[in-house]
Amino acid sequence: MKVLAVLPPDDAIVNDLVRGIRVIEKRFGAETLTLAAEEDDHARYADIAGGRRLEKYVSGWTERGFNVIVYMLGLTPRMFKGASSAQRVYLFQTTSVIHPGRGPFILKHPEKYDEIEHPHIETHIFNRLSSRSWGFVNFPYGNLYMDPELGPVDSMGFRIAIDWRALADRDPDHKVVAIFGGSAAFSCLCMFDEMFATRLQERLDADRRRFRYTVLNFGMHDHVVIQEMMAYLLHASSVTPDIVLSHGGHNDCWYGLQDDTYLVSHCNLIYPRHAEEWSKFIHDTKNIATPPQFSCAVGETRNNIPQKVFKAYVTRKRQFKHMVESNGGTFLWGHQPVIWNRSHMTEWEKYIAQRNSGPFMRRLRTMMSRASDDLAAMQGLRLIDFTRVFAALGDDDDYMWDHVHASPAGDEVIARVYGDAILALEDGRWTEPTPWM
Amino acid sequence: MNILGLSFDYHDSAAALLCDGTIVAAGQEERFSRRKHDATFPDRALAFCLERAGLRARDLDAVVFYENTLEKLDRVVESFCETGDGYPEYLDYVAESWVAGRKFDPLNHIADRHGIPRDRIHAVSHHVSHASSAFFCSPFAEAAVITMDGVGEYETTTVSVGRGNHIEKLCATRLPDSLGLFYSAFTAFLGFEVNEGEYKVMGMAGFGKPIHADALRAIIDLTPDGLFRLDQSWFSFRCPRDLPYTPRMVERFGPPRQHESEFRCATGGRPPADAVEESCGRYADIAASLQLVTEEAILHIVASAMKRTGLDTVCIAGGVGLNSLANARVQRELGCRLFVQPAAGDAGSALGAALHHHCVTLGLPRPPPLVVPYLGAEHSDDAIKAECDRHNLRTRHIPDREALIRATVDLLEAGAVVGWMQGRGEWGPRALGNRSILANPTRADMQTIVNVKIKFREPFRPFAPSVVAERAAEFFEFAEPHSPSSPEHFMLAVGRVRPGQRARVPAVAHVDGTARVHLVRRDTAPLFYDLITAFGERTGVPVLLNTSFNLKGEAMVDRPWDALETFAWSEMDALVMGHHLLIREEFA
Repeated sequence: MKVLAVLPPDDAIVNDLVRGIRVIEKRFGAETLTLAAEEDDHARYADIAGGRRLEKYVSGWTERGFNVIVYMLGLTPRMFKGASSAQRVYLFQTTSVIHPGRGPFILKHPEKYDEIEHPHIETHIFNRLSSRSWGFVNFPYGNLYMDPELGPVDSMGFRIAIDWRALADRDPDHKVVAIFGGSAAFSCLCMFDEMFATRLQERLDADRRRFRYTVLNFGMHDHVVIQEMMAYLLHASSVTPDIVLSHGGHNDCWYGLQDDTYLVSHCNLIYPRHAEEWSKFIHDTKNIATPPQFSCAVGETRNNIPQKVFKAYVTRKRQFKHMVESNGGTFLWGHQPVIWNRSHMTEWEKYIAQRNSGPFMRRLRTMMSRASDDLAAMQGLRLIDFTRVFAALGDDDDYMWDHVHASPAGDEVIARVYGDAILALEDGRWTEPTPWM
Repeated sequence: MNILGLSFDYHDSAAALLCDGTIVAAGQEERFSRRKHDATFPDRALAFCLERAGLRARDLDAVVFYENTLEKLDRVVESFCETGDGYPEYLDYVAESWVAGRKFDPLNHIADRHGIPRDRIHAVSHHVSHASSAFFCSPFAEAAVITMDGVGEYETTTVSVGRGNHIEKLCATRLPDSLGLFYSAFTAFLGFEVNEGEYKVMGMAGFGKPIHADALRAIIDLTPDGLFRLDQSWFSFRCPRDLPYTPRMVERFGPPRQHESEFRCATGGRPPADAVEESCGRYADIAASLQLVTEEAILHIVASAMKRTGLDTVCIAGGVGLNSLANARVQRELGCRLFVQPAAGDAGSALGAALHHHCVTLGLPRPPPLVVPYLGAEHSDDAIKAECDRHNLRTRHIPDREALIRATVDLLEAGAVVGWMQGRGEWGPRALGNRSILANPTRADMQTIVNVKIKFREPFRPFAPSVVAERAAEFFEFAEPHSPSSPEHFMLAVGRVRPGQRARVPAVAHVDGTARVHLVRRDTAPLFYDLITAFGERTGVPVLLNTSFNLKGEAMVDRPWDALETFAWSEMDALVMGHHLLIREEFA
């Protein structure tokens, strides 16, 4: 397979390009990779290319003869100009600025996911009826998130590459760690080998003591606690996880501020806003004019007061904790980091923080910070507060890639802290507040 | 005769409705949309005005837009042709924004959007709208009428004489000579947002000394015709790219202040404690110099207008009219009777446009003077209760008026910060006791508490005192009010705290001893008046710290939900909405 990576004609951060080339090589094979750049850019890309071939890029010409073409994005969008039917074409964004929320690889040709891209695209009815493109929709069993471009996903969209159901019959010294949460747990900006679930597995394998661990990632883009519970009940409970990491907070705050007031304030129900589309679809009320607060435009409307949102979040998360503990598991309450926690921001992180400074985001920032304080004041949560972990990190790396998603470096920190926590539990060294805060 | 005035497409869009010569309603779109300085079509403000009057759009006899769009476009193109060489994309940028915003034809836009016959829609020029808003709301049969802002179509300052139903323009200054843009250029230089941070510059000025006044006087030439010229080598007003000033400003005054960077400043002759204070001292000196020279220019313009018209009654509108320090000097030093329209900026032009049509075009009798600035929306106790119920919040219902006042005074006396939402919302940018955050001014720490914990705004910014009119002179020095329409009733003139009284009201005395006094009368604001009176009976100080009910960077609250949300996100101790009291400890 011959692979061509076209370097961006605009400004891009060098470290991100270096990582990008490494990721492309890992996915498609280093020995087949050719780099190309506009002639004017060859000098500035000489170091990045290293020993690799760096060809002069001529649009529509250089691509000929390659099986896979990857157009790398800097900080400005790039037009895709078409390809032959035999070619697979991807964009590769070094950051998440151009296509927010998307991971590095974005399939452009073919236009729809095929079985090469998503081996489970024909496995069940909801996949078969899907649009076969990136996105997430709300289904009775939680969200179906279509993102196979970052590495293996299973038939339900979880980033799990093993036949985990067999773990129901595991040995007593074989422990299952199940991760739940939204896109930050899914690690939606990291490749499979970069996500904290993988890094945690490596960490626990490397420091093996009494127990062997298998880490399963049931994190799913957009999940709030209620959906974490559904994922636990519908899937993970069949293997009775020994340790549950519920890594979240952001989505419950984000959606909680916008959701229907009655459901949040009276019923402690926080849900992904787009779930409202179900009601419209099922009842064929699409054309009924709904008040703006019931539109699905996220990040604009504010319908609820933070105290009620926090109460709903904590109520449901305690319920999840109780469910896990009743089933014999240990529940770790992970409070995820956000960009505003970073006390010593890099230039990139400052840029991201600046982009997220409108009225809604200011409230989200305040809410995440208050939640950190309020959770710290509660007893017996087994809380791991990553807002404090990330506040203590220096400016030596970009630990956050957008306002809520960690970079591979950030995911490595998360994996390390969870690893320390799990080993502390194993050794009976767990104390609160946890020393890694 | 129902006449609607509208302003939109630049900043601070608004709607105002006159019914048979009475100002029935006026509202700024930002109060409804929650977007500060919202410039979009004021659909919500318009709907509010119609609802308040029980009208539908088709019941409107006339709709009047606040400026002449073609003239404005002509100015943009002319400016580009004359000075756009260095910024060839400027015209494209303007054209794109005008096309996207449908700005070329606002009159048809109004007709299409609300189904109003096109022949009922009119336009009046920008500064005529301003002038009408000032003169026809004033208590004066005749007056010198002065408008000062950034720019309208071409004009930036106008001087007119108003008599009865007529306003005759005497002279004007045109772009690029603009007092509003002069102040805004320095606002940007001092690290604040233009059209938003001008108040902050006024606050910052109190910390500095006007040591650069001579340098600024060299930039602004006060001409014998009663107007002024600006040395344009300092500014970029005609085709602005990024900054409204040229490198010359940086050469003369040093590096500009970083946007919203920390501001600490030595006061009272103390030396600066560190480098931050030292550099902030430099900015404060620039702000003080700017304020002084701006005041001098305004005094020059007003004095000349008074001389030219032979009148000692003066009406001011336009954004510069919100410079309350200058207003006070105008009254004090020129001995005039001054009226400043409470919404002196562009929002107020909606009212001016409607008034112009009523008084000038139709020649109908002028409305009575504007003495009650509460022209906004009102929400019933039932609506407030329903909103609290919707959020599953517990409230204390206190139906008895005296008991409500007593409970609020208890809280204020104990040092609580109280959100206060009553009756109709204010017209204009000042909170005048219906959408206010109130606190005890006798506590020295209250300024910091409200700035830092409640409003999350710059710690140096001062708060205004609301004081019962009869006892105001006991605490403050200010010009004798000529009528219930004088600027002090709209918080539009700064006075001084009497030297012997500063210790009694430390939280409302600015560092330079000034205070933006708000006189409260029982006939225009009975509940607020009684609240302050009761507070005075309890503490001996009939004064309350009063600031607008909003968070930093956000519009003032309008609906109960806005108040609840603002209360929830701040650290206010209590919220009084109508006859409902919410206490922080019992909240959620």
